[in-house]
Amino acid sequence: MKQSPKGSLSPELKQRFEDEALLYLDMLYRTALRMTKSAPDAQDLVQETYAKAYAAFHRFEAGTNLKAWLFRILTNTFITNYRKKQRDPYQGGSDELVDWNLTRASSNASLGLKSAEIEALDLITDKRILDALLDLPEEFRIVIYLADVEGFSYKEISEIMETPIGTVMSRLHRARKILRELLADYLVSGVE
Amino acid sequence: MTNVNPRCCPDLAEKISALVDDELIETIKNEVIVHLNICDECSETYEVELFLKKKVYETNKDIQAPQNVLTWIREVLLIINYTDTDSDD
Repeated sequence: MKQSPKGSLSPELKQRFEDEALLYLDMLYRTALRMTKSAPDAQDLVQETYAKAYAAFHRFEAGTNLKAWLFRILTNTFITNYRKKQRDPYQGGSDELVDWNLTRASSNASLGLKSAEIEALDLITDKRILDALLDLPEEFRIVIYLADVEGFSYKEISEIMETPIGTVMSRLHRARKILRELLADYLVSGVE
Repeated sequence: MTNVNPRCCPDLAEKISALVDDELIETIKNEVIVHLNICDECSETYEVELFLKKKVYETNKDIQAPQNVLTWIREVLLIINYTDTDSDD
């Protein structure tokens, strides 16, 4: 059998790839869409992810977490190829990430909304929720999608993003905190 | 509307997030739940985070990949199939 430049798979593996890996297409696409903030870029990212996954599928260990493996490829591909195109306010490394927005968070941190907050948040349109999500810095945005939309555990996110579980926990907590502030800003400014 | 993010008990903030995700081990979970029953600020933080988590899920769950992405992937796989078949001949 001729070696394909993208790697050669046995017919059984090829069939398994089609049967199993393609099940995650919609999940990968919606995460790609939130990573890239652009439908054409998301399509490219997903296609590239599947091309890489196909090429490496013979090395994938059956019985392990295929979904997490695909998301890891997606995340790495995004970080390698697409990050520079983004216009996030934050473009630094993980060490710098810790302090991002801390000042802002602290400045808004003292007064609670009590139960009225949920009532008010419930009136916010889905578009505003999406706008706020897209306003999150990249690594916060990714972690919140992996946890809240795709339902990955901290351990899985830690493997996908190649960061310690404690960092995942901390980023997710900060992501929700910033999201909450952004939505409160919409409410304060009356923009709806 | 006033500001958000009450400074709930500082050492509990991440644990409350982990409770939202149900990622706490049982013992710690029980401790946090007991605390939520007596601390209004932490209880509010928990409820808001849980609410936001549901909102985030609901606003994203129905997104589907365009058909052309699936077609592209299948075509790439098919092309590889054809290549392999040709080489077998």
